[in-house]
Amino acid sequence: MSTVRAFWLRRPAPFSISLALCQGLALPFLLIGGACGLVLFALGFQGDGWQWPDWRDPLIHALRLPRVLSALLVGGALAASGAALQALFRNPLADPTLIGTSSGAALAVVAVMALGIGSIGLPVAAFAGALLTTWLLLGLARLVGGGEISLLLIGLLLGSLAGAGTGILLFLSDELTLRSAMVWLSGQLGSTSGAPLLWATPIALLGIAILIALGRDLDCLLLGEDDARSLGVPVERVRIACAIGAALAVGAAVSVGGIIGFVGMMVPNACALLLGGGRRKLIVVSTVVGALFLLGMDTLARGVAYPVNLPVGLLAGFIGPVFFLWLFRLRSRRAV
Amino acid sequence: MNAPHSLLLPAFQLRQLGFQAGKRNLLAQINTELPRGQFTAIVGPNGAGKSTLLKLLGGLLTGHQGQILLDGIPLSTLPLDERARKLGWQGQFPPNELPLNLADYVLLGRRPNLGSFGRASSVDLARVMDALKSVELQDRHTSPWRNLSGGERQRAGLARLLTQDAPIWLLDEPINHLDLKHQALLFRRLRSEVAKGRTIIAVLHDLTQAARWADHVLLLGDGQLLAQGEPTRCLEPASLSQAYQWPVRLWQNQEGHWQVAVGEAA
Repeated sequence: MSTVRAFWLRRPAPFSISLALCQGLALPFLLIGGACGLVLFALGFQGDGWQWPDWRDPLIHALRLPRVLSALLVGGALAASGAALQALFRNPLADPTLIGTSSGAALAVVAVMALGIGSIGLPVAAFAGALLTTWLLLGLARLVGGGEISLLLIGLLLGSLAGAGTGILLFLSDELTLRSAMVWLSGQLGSTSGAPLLWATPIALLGIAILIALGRDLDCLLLGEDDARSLGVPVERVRIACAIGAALAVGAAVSVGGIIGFVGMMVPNACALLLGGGRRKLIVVSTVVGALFLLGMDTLARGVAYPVNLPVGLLAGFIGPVFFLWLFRLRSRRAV
Repeated sequence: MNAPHSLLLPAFQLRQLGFQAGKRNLLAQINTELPRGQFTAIVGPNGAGKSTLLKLLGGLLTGHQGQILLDGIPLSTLPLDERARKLGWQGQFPPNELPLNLADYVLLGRRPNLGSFGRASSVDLARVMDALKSVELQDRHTSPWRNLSGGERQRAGLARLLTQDAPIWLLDEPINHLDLKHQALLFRRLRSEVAKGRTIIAVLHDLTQAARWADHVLLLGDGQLLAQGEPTRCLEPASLSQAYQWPVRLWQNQEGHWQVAVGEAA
């Protein structure tokens, strides 16, 4: 530690001292403080007021705590996989929903639900669906070529294909399953038809851990395939590992909270604008910020139409496109 | 760095090297040795296979015929990390968009030594700053990549190579995007690296630059090795005209500068 200090002191402001200070001290404190406050607020928030959460109240530990935990898990998993997918596809607009991964996972979950399978079957099916979609996308994008717009278009096509499949399954199945699945699918956290947190949590954490481990190699992939190879990166292996890690995280998130769009695109881009720096740090920060962001959005969703419980996926559907347009405009202005 | 016996070997030995893309023969029957501790220029017309040859030397293409020996060892048997510690590679086009700061970009040059997980130490960071200083970009180490000009990106690439510190450099058109001053500075820099014992192999478009700065030249034409050796002896009118399918002559004017004379086709 002392050698690092000495190094900082000897050289005139390497890597910007203010940035280092901000990242080293202020940010974790801010995050921890904000996180505690937000969780406490979400637990006691009723729509028409706030009460200090009473742990003996069944409303708190049976309903709100699982909902808060789901929001944290889903938000963190979506943001982490967004940050990794943006590097994998070399496209800052990549998002599990926009490129069809979430829809693929949802289709698999609905198919498994229609067969009457529940609990651990749901996140596992979601993982398989997400992995298959990512893999198809990687393959098709290489086959068709045409850069980042073509990638987004192919993702969109895969997504609507999976969405059509999901629609047919829901249409054909009996009414009770359909109705509960519809609520879950539209991004309702804490609905009973989603996968149990007990199974989804370890799957999401495994996926996020894989993505964090890939951090530096994803940075190298951003330089282009040849440069990455010349730096000793096993390009194909990293791609496969990233697709698997992202599919685990997205699968777990979708099986718990249905399709919640744009979180995986908004959070990493906002973090990258504020922090810059390598992909590993970005994935870690995005996970934390994404978890808190979705918790905040979900609490908001509980409040805006009280006593109706608005699915957070619908709220994200309003905020996301605006952010997307802003980012797209920022990028196209830079290109000129 | 290298075992003593390998210092006697040429950096690369190519035996019956060939490469096809689909049915097209991009390279055929290349037999040569690339000297250690010298500046080798690969020259030739568009589509002659210069970049393909450089990528093969860097191990970036699979499925070639014949043998590529690096320090006497078949290139394909080297583990990726070890290869990356021996060979530094810089492509023709730096990335257009990169969500990294300059210093973070240059730090990726330590990837072969740090692996995917190792933490960058203060020594690694000091290397980054030294490399940035030597390409005169030390004031811009926090600049986002998008704020760098084409020439600055090229120099950033050189800083990454310096940080990687491999004994052999493979450069594809290193003077792309550089103005005249920075071209001259780059060549002077490359010469000083060669003087320190580095082996440099560069694809060059400009014959006069190759004649002026290189120790050794490979002249490619249509996937064949047409001539090799000292620049003055290798870049003579007959083989140049054969390579370019056009009358081309290289001559030295009274001040000793090399110039190209392009004739009218018959």
